Amino acid sequence: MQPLLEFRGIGKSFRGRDVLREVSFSVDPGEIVGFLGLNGAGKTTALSIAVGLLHASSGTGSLLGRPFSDSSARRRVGFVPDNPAFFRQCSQAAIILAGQVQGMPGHSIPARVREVLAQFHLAESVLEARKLSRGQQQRLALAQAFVSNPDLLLLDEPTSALDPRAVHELRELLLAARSAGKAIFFSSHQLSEVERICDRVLFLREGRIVRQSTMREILLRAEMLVLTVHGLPPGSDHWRIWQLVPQPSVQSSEVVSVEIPAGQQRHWIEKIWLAGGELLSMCPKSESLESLFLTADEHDQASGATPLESLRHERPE
Amino acid sequence: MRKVATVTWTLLLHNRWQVLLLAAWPWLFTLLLQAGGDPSPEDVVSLLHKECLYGLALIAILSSSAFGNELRSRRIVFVLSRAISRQQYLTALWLSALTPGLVYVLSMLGTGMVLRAAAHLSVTSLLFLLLALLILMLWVSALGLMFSMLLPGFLPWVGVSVAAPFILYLSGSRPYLGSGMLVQYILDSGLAQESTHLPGLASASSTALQASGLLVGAYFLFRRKDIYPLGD
Repeated sequence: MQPLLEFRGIGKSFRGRDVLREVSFSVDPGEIVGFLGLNGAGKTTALSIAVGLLHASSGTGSLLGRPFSDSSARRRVGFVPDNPAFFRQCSQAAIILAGQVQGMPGHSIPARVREVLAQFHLAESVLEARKLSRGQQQRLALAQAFVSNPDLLLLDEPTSALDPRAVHELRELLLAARSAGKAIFFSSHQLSEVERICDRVLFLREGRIVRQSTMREILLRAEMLVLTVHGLPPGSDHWRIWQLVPQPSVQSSEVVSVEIPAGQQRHWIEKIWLAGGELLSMCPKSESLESLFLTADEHDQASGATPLESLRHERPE
Repeated sequence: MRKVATVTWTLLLHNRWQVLLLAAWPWLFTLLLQAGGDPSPEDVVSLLHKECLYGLALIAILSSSAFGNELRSRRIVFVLSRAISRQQYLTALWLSALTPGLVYVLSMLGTGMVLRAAAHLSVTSLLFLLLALLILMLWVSALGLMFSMLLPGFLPWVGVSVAAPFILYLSGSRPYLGSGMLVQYILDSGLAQESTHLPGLASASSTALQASGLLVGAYFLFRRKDIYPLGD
């Protein structure tokens, strides 16, 4: 299966400063990939290279199997920049324009435009696009990206400025697009959104991909297990003697949750049983994407791994 | 071609006030001239000559600022991230700067016809004058676009306003450069007698050729240019 978007060792320098360094990844049909990183990490630069706005200083890549500079590949791509700009025209005309420049057949544009206007709640909008609120402008930019029914969506901060209802609807649209075999690659600071819908995430730090993995692998890193125990109350002497770090968290007067290192479950289950406790459940500890995001730097620096080593280590088979 | 026309039309609609101003400009001058009573033939010819030079200056401003305006407003990101090649976009940008010039020339033709009787103007001479102006507009708009690929901010306009007179001065003594000869043709044009020759066919074709060369140059520069979006 040919990836819809592929970066192979792409680098980009601005006036001697490396903004992207050896960035390699691919996005396949039917997956949603999140692109995470602090401000200035190079996310917008990478997306701009993908749509041909910037030229890579090194490395190669492809968009739907063609070079980034080939405009015909963009016929099947929908792009939303992080700060959309519009001509002096109403929402409907702005979406028609997007359809026309994407090369949609003229006869199919009116019906499709009506559809996306309704989908993004812009049908009632009569104001000039430039005079819409920031949230409405963001919805309009998304409508422009969706109008040509693209195979690949490249979205730079798509949920910024959207209200909760719009975020929810966008999420549903992206999930429906994935089900239809389309690919979505988006950057975001809304980690909860990324966590909810992404199949895979890439962490970018100072222009390098420091971590690349599936959401499942990231969230269920089986380094710690969580045991839910009944019959050993929080104040019980056992917990004090065992000196668990962190201390058990209280679920109710009779139920506590404790975190133990993976591999020691037999030892702890026996201890709990011998002390009269009853094991209710045992699960791998689920980490939030936020905590992983915040510790990504420290993890990378502490391990001393080069970005490529991290990539090899993290990349799913 | 359809995409070029779409983007050109969108740019023109966006800048419709500029187009309307250029359309109105010759009529305003004509009204001012006629406000003081029946103008003399010399006044009419002088007005038409001045309008030609103003028209060239206005097109130089429009063409040298077109790219910078799109870049600053980030509308260029919307267009270039779609299925539009850089060549198509540059062509649309050039046409959107040149079309107001065409409107201006048509407006001048209208005012020329109004003033024709008063100044005993020859229609053929007027048409040749406007043809020469149109060819010079092709040239100056291509020069403006070329400079906007080379220099940032308002500097393209500075570049054009230095380079264009210099080239015109040089080409006055070098007929193969053409453009200066065309300006000379405009300024020497008496407009009263029937003109029997085109405004120097060699000068006209040489100027048009230069315009094509400048456009090709602008395209090669644009093809390698990074478009910096905001953000990240």
